[in-house]
Amino acid sequence: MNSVSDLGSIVSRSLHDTLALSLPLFRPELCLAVTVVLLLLCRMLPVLKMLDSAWVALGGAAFALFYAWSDLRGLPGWLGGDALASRQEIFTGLLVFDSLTAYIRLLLMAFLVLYIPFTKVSGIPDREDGADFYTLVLGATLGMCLMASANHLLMVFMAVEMASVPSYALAGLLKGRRASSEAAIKYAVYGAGASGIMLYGMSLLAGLLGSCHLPTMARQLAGLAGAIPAGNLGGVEMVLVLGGLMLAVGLAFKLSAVPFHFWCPDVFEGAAAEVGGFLSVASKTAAVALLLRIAFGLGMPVAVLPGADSSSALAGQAAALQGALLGDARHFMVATIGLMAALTCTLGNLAAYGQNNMKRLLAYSTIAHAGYLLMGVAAAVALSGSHPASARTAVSAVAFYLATYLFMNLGAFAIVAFLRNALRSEEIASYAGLIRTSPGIVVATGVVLVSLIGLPPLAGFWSKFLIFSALVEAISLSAERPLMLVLLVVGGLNTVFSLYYYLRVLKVMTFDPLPADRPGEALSLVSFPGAIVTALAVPVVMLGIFWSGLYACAQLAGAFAS
Amino acid sequence: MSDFLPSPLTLAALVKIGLLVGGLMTAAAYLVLLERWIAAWVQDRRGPNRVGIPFTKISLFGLGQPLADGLKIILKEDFTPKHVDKILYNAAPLVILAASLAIFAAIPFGSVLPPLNIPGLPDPVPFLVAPGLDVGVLWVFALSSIAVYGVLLGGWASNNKYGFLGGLRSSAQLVAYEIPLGLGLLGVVLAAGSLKLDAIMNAQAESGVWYCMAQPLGFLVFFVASFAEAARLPFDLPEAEQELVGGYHTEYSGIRLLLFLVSEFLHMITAAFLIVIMFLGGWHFWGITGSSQQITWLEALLRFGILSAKILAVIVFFMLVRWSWPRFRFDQLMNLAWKVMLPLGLANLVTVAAVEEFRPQFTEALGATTAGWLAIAVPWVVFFVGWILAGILTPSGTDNRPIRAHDPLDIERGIREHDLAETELAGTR
Amino acid sequence: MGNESMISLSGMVMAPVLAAGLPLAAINWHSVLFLLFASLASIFAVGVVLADNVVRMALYLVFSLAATAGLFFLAGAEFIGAMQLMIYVGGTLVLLVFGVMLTAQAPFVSIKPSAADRALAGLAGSSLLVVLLAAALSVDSWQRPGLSEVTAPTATPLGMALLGMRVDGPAAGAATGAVANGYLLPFEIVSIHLLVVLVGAAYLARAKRRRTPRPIDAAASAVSVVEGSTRVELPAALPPRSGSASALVSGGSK
Repeated sequence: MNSVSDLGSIVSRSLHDTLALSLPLFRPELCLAVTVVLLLLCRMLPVLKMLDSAWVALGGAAFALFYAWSDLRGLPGWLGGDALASRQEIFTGLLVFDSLTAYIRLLLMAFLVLYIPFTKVSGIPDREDGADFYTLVLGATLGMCLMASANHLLMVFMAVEMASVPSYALAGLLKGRRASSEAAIKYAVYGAGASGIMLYGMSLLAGLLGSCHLPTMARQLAGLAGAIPAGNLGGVEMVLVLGGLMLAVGLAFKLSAVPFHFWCPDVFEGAAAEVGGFLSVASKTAAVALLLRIAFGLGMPVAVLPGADSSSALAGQAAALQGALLGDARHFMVATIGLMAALTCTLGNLAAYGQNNMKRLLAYSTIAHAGYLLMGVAAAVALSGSHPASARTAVSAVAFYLATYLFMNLGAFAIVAFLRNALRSEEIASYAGLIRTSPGIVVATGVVLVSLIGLPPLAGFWSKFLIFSALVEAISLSAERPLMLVLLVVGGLNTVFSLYYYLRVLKVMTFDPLPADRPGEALSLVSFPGAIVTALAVPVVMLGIFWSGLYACAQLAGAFAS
Repeated sequence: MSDFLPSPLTLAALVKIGLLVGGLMTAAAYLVLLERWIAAWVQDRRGPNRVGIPFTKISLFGLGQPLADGLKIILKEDFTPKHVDKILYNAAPLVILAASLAIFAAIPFGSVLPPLNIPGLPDPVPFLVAPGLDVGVLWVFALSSIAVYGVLLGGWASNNKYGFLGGLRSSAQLVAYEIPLGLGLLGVVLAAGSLKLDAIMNAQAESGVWYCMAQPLGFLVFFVASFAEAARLPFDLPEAEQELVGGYHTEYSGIRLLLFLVSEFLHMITAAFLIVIMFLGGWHFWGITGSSQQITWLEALLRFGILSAKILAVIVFFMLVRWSWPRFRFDQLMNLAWKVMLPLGLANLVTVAAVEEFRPQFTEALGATTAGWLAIAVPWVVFFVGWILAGILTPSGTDNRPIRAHDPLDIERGIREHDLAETELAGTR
Repeated sequence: MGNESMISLSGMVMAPVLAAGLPLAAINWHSVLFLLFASLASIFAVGVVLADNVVRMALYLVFSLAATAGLFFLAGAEFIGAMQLMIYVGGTLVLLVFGVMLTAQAPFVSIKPSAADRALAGLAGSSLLVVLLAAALSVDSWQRPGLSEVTAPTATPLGMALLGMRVDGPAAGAATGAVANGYLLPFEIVSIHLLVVLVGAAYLARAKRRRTPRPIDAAASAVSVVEGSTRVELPAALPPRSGSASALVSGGSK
C-alpha cells in the first residue's frame, strides 16, 4: 500500500480532477439529472403538483441548452479560429470532452427544447402521465449525452443502457393498448439480446487488449499489430474480429441498421408518434456519435496529451506511427460499416414502398437515413489514416446531416401526431385531399418530405450533398476506393428510389379526392399545433438557404477527428 | 505422509467446520428443549421433564427429550405426496439448510487461540472458519438472502395453497426486511471501517464502546429486522398456524421437515450471533476479557464463554418475545418495514456518517473524552427523536373498517333517518 | 489466501454431504473446485434452456449464478463473488421467482417450444458456441492460465476506485500517460439511471384507474382496449372532440 501522504495526494488530485476539471464540462448533464429529481419532488408537495411537469422539464432542458451552447462557444476553434482538437479527458478518462461532445450535446438539448412543447401540445403525455413521461425522456437523453462522450467501454455500455431502458418504457407509454405493449416487449427483448451480445464483444476486446479505456486499447492494438508480422496474427485476429462484430451488433441495434432493424417498424407503429420521433431523432444522433467515438477511438490513437509539453511532438509522432499500424483495424471497420450502410440504405428504402401506415413508412425512412449516415462515417474512417483533413470534412458532413435530420424528422413525426389528433388515423389513405381543407399543413409536409428526399432548395439537399462529396473524396484519396465507389452508387440510386414513396404521400394529400364525411378544416397553421409544425418546417427551408453558419459549427465538430 | 494429509491450514479449517456444524446441530436440538421450557414457564405449567437416559429411570430434567424427538422425526415415514414437483420438493430443504450453515463460514465464534506453534499454521488461530475472507459481512448478508429460496421453492413445489401462500408471504417479508437489515449493518461497517466480523468485534473491544450504545437506532432497526428475517413470532406470518396450517412446510414430513425446522433454528442462532457480534461487543466484557490479540488459554476460553453467554441471552429473549407478543397483520408488517424501519435505518446511517466525519475535528477542539461522549450522545438524541416521530407520523396499520357515516351509538338519529326513508318510500308508492 | 478460504467456504456449503477420508493433499483442490463450479454453472445454464417449467428455469438460473459466484471466490475476487450472490442470487432472482410465481397462470407455467424452434435455436446456439470456443482457444495467452498468488485481496482498493481514486495502479494524470480510471462517474450516474428506470417501471405497473380519460383513448372508435383480461369494445360513436388534443391512434384498422 501507499504511504499516507501518497494517499493524501491521490485524494487531492482526484478532487481536483472531479471538481475543477470534470464537473464544469458536465453541466448540461447535471441540469438533466437535477431536473429528473425535481420532477419527482414536484409530485410530493401539493402546491407544486399544480405545476405542469412539462414546464419543469422545459426549464431544465433550457438550462441544459444554455450550458451546452456556452460549452460549444468556449471551444478554441469557435468563429473561424484555429479548429484544433481540444480534447480533454474528464472523470479520470471515462468520458472525453471535445468538439464532437459539445456539438452532439447541443443538438440533443435543442431537440429537447423543441420536443417538450411539441408533446405538451399534442397531448400524449397528459397531466397525469407527464411527470413520468418527461422523467423517462430526460433520463434517456442523459444516457445519450454520455454515449456522445464515452471514452471507456464501461461508459459505452452504461450509456447505451441508460438510453435504451427508458426507451423501452416509453414504447409502452400507451398502457392498455395491445400494439403499444407489444412494441415495448419487442423492443425490450430485442434490446436485451443486443446489449448482451455487445457486452460479450466488449469483454473479448477488453480481455485481449487489457484495458477498457479506448485510447489505451488503440495503443495496445497498435502494439499487437506491430509485434506480430502482418497477416500472422493467428487466433488474436479472430478474437478481435469477433469482438468487433459483436460490438457492432449493439451499435447497429441502436442505429436500427440492417440486419438489426427488425424492431424498428413494429416499435414505431405500436408506440405513439411522439415516442417514435424521440427514438428516431435523439437516439439516432447519439448512436452515430457513439459509432464515431468507437471507430475513431480504436482506429486512430490520440497523441498522449499535454502536460509534458516538450514531449508532445514526440507523442504526436508516436501516435502517427501507431496510427499507421492500425491500418488493418480501420480497413475492417470501414468494410463492416460500409457494408452495413449499403444494406441499411437499400433495404430501408425498398421496404418503405409497401407501407400504408405513415408511422411505418417513417420507420423505414429512419432506417434508410441511418444508412446515409453510416456512409458518411465509413468515408470518414477510410480517410482518417492518410488524409486527416478530408476525414474532418467527412465528419463535419455527418454532423451537419444530424442537425438537419433533427428538424426534418421531428417535423414529420409532429405532423403525424397532430394529424392523428385531427383525423384519428395514421393511415396514409386517410390523408386524402387534405390540401382542400388545410393547405398550410400540406405545404409543411411537402417541405419536410422533400427535404427528407434531399432535393435542392432545402436543408436535406445540403446534408446529402456533403455526404456524397465526402464519398467522392474518399474515392479519390483513400485506399478503400472500390467500396466507396459502391457506396456512392448505392447512395445515389437510393435517393432516386426514395422519391417515389415520399411523393406518394404528397400525391395522396393533394390529388386524391376529399372523403365525403371529412369534417371541416383538419389543422390550421394558426394554432398551437400549427405553430409547432411551422417552427420545425421553417428551419428546414432556412437551413437550405443559409447553411453556412450551421456548417461552421459542424466543421468545429469535425475537428475532433484530428 | 505429507501426501496423504492436507496442509495444516486446510486441516484446521476442516476441524473448525466439524466443531461448528456439530455444535450448531446440538445447539439447535437443545434450543428446542429450551424453547419448550420457556413456553411452559411463561404459561405457568410444567414443560418436558420426563425423558432422561434411555432404558433407565433417570430423568435428568428431561434432557433426553431432543434425542427422542430427533429419533421420532427421523424414523417417521418419509412420505412424498403425489401432487408435488419432485425435484424442487426435494431440493428446497437442502437449499435452505446449506445456506443457513454456510453463513457460519464467515461468523467468528470466539476470539483467537493462544500460539500453538504448529508449522504451516500461522498464529494466532482465530475462531473463524474462513479467516481470510475479507468481505465477511457481505457473505453473511448474501447467504441470508439465499435462504429465502428454500421457503419459496418449498411453498411452490408442495402444490398446496397454504404452502404457496406461506412461501409468497415469506418472500415478500424477507425481501422487505433485508433492506433495514442492510442499513443496520452499514452503520456498523461504517463505524468499524471493516467488512470483517472479527475486526468489528475487535473495534468494539478496543474502544470499550459497544455499538448498541453508539448506534442505538441502528441496533433497534437491526434487532427488529433480524426478528423478521428469522421469521420469529411477531413476524412469523409465513407459517402462521392459525391461518396457514404449517405455511410453506405444510406438505413436508419426516427428515425433510426436520431439515426445515433445524434451519429455522439456525436462522435464529445466526441472528443472535450477528446481534451480539455487531452490537453487543462480541466476546468483549469490561474488565474481564481484555482487548489484545496476545492472550492466554484462560482468556481464550473466557472470551468464548462470554460470547456464548451473550448469544444464549439473546436467544432467550427471542423465545420470551415469542410467547408474549401477538403476531403482526400483513399490512402492519409491510408498513413497519417500509415506513418505519427504512427511514429510521437511513437516519441512523446519516447520523453515523456525520459522527464519523466530524469526530476528528471535535477531538481536536474539545479533547478525546468530550468528543467520545458527544459521539454517543448525538445518536441517542437522534434515536429518541426518530422514535417519537415514527410514533406520531406512521400508522402501524391500515384501517380497513368500513367508514360509518355517523356515530352508531346515535340511535335516535338512526331512527329518524329510518323513518324519513320510510316516508319517502311511501311517497313514491 | 483465496484457495484456503475457498476450501473453507465450499466445505461449509457441502457440509451436509461432506465426504471425509479422501487423501486430501494428493488432489489439486483448486482445479477440482474450479471444475466443480464451472461444470455446475454450465450444467444448470443448459438446464435453464432445456427446462419446460418456468419456475424450474428460474431455479436453475439461481444455481448457475451461484456457481458463478463460486468461480469468483475461487479466483480471489471475493468482493465480486459476494456481490454476485447478493445482487443476482439473493436479489434479482428472488424477485424474478416471486414474480413468476405470482403471475404464472396455468397456460404460462409450462413453455414448450416446437421441435422446429428447438432445432433452430440449437443450431444457432451451437454454432455460436463453436465460434466462440474456437476464438477463445486460439489465443495463446489465454491457454496458459498459470495459478498465480493472489495479493492481499481486500475491498479497500475497490471502494477507493468507486470513489474515483485509484490506489493500486498508476495514478490519474501521471507522467507516463497511462490513466488509471476511477469509477466515480458510473457509480454516481447509475443512481440517476435506476431512479429513471424505477419511475418507468412504476408507470408501467401502476394499475391506477385514470381520473380523466386519456385524450388518445377518449375518442377511440372500434379500437379494442385490453385491460386486465377483459376485452372491452368501445362504442363506435365518437364523443365530441374537446380541443386539439382529442384524438385516436392508428392500429385500429389492423
